[in-house]
Amino acid sequence: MKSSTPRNSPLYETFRVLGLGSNLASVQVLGGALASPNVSVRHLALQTLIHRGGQAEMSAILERIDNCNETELPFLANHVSSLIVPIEMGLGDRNPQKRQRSLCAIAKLQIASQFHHLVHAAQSPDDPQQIVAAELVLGLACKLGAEARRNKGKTSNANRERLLSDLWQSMLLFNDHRILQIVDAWLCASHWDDQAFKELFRPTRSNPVFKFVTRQLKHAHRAQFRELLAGVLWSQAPSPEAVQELGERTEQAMAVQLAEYFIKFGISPIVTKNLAMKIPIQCIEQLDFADNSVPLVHRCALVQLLAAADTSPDKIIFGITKLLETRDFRVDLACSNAIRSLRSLKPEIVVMVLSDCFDAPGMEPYDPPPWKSSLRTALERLIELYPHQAQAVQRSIEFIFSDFRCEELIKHLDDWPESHLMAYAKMVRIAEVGFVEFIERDAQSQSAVKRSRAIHAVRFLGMDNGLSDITIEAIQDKSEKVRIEAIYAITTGRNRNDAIEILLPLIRDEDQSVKTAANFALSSLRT
Amino acid sequence: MIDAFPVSFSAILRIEGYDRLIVKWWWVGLAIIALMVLLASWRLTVQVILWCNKPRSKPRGLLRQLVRVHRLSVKERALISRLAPLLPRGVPVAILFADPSSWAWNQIKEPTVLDSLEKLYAKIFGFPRDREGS
Repeated sequence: MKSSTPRNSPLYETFRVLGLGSNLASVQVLGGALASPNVSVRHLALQTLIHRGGQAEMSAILERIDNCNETELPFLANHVSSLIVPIEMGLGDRNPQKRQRSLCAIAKLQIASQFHHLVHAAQSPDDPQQIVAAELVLGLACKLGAEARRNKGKTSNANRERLLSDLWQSMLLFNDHRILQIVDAWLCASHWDDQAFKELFRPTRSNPVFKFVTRQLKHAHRAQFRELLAGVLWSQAPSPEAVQELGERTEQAMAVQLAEYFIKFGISPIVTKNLAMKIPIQCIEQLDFADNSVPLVHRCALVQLLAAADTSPDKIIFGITKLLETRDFRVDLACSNAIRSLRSLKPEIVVMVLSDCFDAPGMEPYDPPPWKSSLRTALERLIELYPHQAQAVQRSIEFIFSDFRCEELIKHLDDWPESHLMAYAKMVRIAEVGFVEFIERDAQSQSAVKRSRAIHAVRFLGMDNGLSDITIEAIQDKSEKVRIEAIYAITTGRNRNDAIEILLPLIRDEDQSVKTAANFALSSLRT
Repeated sequence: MIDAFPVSFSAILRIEGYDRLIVKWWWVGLAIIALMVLLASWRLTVQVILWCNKPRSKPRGLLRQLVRVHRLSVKERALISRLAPLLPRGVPVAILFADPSSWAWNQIKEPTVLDSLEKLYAKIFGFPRDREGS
């Protein structure tokens, strides 16, 4: 703490005089100056009193401890040894104000060696300063706990450990005092990597106090408790019960807290390991990613956490599509990352989900299971959004469906139903950039079978993207089979009039089979 | 009687050859008395010094010292005397030199006095009145 007053200023001169000699009248003046709204004056007064260093001076500081701000307190904390005696005297004083000031000084200056006095006062219902002491303990616990929880790993802080130890002793006597703030303070000061916190959840702990503490953690809605539970994901070897507890929380605030930690600490191997416990984190799963009350940056973090949490793909894709619908460029990176985590989505599953083979006429009515219809809706929405996305997002979508190959489509032409092939071809169009070139190469093959299968595949891939020219060219192929496949492909194309125009000359073709196929195709096009 | 005592004294002390010492027992007694006198005078001296240095509350002395340090004129001292009764009860007058916010400006109405007070304020604190809260 440095005063902004220059050394040659008259005010500095005044304080130099006040710091001299043994005149106790100066102490009263300096004590008064400690209450000044002027920061420089307060700093000078505090420095002068510390410099004088007598008992009366320390008592004057204690009297004004409530006025000390965040810059003055660390300065005082460096000179705490001089304050111990007046504090101890104050604790034993019959004057309640003096005792209260001493308790306040212990909390504000974080005098670890005196914490037990504070905790003892807080746990004694008959103590006149019990309410104040309990508030001070809670405030101190919140401060120390917040500092600890700024780091994902446990850091050593002697003051916090001492407070936790004193509070633990008091908690063991909870059935005697029943002061809830002691429990709250212990939890507020805790870090998710504290051994005592981890042991709290062990089912083997039979002490009813532990059950009470976990119940308090579950039902009390304190931001510090949410921090503590959210941090469990970043904890080294957390107890499954603690992760379970986190998973059961449904409130949005918990999801926001997880998002904040995700932004701060990121995804580490520890998080991945903890998420591998396969405990669903309901607060994220139930979150509406279109809800603007949750900041976009938090929703982006949560969709990535959702993807890392081994959640069912439909939930992840729903989250992603909701974010993509915002059309905000800030979601691109998070969505790309989340999409890439869907790599495990097998092509067979995607085909089965997207295929409408059971909707075909003649099939028995079939109600797909909820997961299937949910995944189908999600995938269809993702495919729908695909063309309008930024390149990074498109590349990620292509990446997850990269197992969909044109070559595979041709292989399955004979053994899969048409709806499966349609679904597969839909994904090929997204995933395989060079599918037109592939068909073109096969269509120019020496093998008539290869040419015929390539043109057969066009039926499912669609007649756009240059496949139209290849198919029209195939009408003039020397193989009858290829020509017939081309007629069918043109028939399934999008432009009906163009198809009629192309097929019309074929009704006079020399080849009888081609003629029949053309007639059949034209009649189906005209109806 | 006088001769018999040293014998019994040596017997009491059980020191062999005491009678042969050059320094007689009364010299020892004399030395002890001298030491006690010396100690008493030392203690007295220390007490006097401590009494002289004993912390005392002398508000007037402090005020005089501050007036001297800031080289206040008679007129300026009169202004301080005018401000002093306006301070809350129990607050020392010297606070007027330490805390700019202790000056009760709102209770002074005369413009001429206000003008003089502003000059005095700048002299004591080294900055004008409008920077009071900084």
